[in-house]
Amino acid sequence: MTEATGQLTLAREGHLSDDDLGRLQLSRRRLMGLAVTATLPLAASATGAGSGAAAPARDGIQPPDYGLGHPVVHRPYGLPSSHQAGLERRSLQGLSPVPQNSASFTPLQGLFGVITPSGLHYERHHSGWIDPNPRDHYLLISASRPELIKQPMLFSLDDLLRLPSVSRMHFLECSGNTGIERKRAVAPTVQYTHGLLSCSEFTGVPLRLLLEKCGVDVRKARFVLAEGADAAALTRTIPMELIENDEVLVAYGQNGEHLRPENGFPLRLVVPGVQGVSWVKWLRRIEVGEAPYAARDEVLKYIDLMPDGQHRQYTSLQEVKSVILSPSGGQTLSAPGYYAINGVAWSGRGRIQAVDVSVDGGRSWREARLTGPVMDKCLTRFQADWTWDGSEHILQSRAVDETGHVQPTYAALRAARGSGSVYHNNAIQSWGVDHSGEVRNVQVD
Amino acid sequence: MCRWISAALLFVFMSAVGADYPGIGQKATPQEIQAWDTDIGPDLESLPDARGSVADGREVYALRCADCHGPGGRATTFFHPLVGGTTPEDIAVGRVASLEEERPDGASTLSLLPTLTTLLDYLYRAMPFGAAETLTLDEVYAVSAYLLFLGEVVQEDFVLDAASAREVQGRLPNRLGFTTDHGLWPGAPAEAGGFGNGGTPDTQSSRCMSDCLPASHHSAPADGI
Repeated sequence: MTEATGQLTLAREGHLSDDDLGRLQLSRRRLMGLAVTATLPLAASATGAGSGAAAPARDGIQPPDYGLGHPVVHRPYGLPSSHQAGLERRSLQGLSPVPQNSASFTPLQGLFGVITPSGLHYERHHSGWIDPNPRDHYLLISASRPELIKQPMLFSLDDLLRLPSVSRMHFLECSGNTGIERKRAVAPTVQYTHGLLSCSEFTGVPLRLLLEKCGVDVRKARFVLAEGADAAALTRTIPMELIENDEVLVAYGQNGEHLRPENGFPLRLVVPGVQGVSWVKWLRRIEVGEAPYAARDEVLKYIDLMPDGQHRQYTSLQEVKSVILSPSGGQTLSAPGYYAINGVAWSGRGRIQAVDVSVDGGRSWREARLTGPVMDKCLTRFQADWTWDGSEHILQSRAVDETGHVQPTYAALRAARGSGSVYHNNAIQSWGVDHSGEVRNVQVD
Repeated sequence: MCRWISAALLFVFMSAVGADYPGIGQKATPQEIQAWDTDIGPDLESLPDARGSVADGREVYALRCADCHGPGGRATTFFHPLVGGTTPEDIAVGRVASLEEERPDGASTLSLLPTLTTLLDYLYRAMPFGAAETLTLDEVYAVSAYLLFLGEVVQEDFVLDAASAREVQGRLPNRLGFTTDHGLWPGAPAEAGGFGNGGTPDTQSSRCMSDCLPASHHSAPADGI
């Protein structure tokens, strides 16, 4: 019953069952002309209904033959379809010899819209994740000198739940995202090139409110140290300006429920537009001070090596960036035809203003549709129409944020910074499509 | 009458839920603050009163550090090396020459370290890995002295304390190796007490739409992982 080919087959890594892999090979053979018969003309498939040979076999017009389904509360906490079971966070072998000091990547290639399901949010832990009992967990707010605060205080989760709250959607990106690509194309799929990126609705209390409650002297205390309760006792310096404009939250909620322990339960700092390491998880202490703190993760790590051997310190903003999620590395276009180009764009400096798409390696560009919503320091979806003609192409996206900052090429980024730093790589990503429809990670200067 | 009561109730409500948020949070006692506030800040003038010698540090290192970091602080099995990559010239100049080779993976803690307090703070709050906060301040100072000795920053008879820490700071090989002159600090710019240029990017690309420069591309080992 199979008819025309014409399907975007997802990436091969783990994501696909053995059956899927078998079908993938089948569709490739077809494209190479080994199995194309008179009844399966490629020309027809290009204008076909889009039901592909690699898709599940159609049952014609027969009604579905299902018996009774599962009862309610069969799974008190719901799970994805069993047919999507491969869509998971994944780490990289060799990324770190210590799994508690490592990262896992969000499967961006399989997500829609801008919200990352909480269970798929990327992980970057420095000494493993913990699950503190909120009855024993407090947030202490104190000062580096007693004169800077009228009343140091302890806040419990219950305290924070009673206070006025806000909910906001923001992206969260590790500054090391795309770091392995800094010298050349390395990773096979977008999960590994760009998957240290997630986006959620966060709910919590503006930190400003808590500092006011404690009577912090903000004329003198212009820096804030945030510390986590994990074994790394991770600390980062946050500028008071971000707290004064109410952007920084002490969050307890994510996507409608309490934070997951991997994401900092019961409390984490939300610092919109700023790299993930500053969004301190398992937040237990806020200290206000008059100088930046020169903590380990802003002195020995999360520093940007420049070609002259100097390191940039306190680099925190995540600059304008975008990536095409579909078609992307590891996927296969099984036949010529229409494929919407889908991707996400984001900027730590504000809203996305525009995204341009190129299908010829950057020689020409056209503006993509922003499919909305377009929010401050939040993932923004873009889409562009594309009909693949079966020839080689290089797909790219280039975002522009509301400050007018244009996402740089690799050549522009390397001209400014060299390629020695694993941090803050926001260069334009390229995906090469070859004659067989395979999509591969390539780099274009 | 009804309206008057409503207005009065509204007044009471607003005054009860002012910016004070009564009944929320607890006052932290000095003992609680002392127990929790263990970070060693960047101010060399207010270092904790402790001391440790190179000799003591060698013993602490062997017992508490060597399993992961290896003899001499150069193991790369689990973490980046602690020492290595520095020269006497670096100590004199304050910049580590080996960092110019764009090989950050080869950098060591001591070849990067611009501020001694960072080392003391991290050892005290987060080391050893898996047994954090089990080193005393004296042990932290001793191990730090030993690492500085391994990096040839101090002599074998060195004792680290608050006073000698200020001298050592002036000998750290990469003490001048950092800059905050960039646009990636989201707070105030340098002229207003913060860092950098206030957020101006270092890449200024144009939004060319057609006849853009021909690009060369390098094919990737897409199945390289």
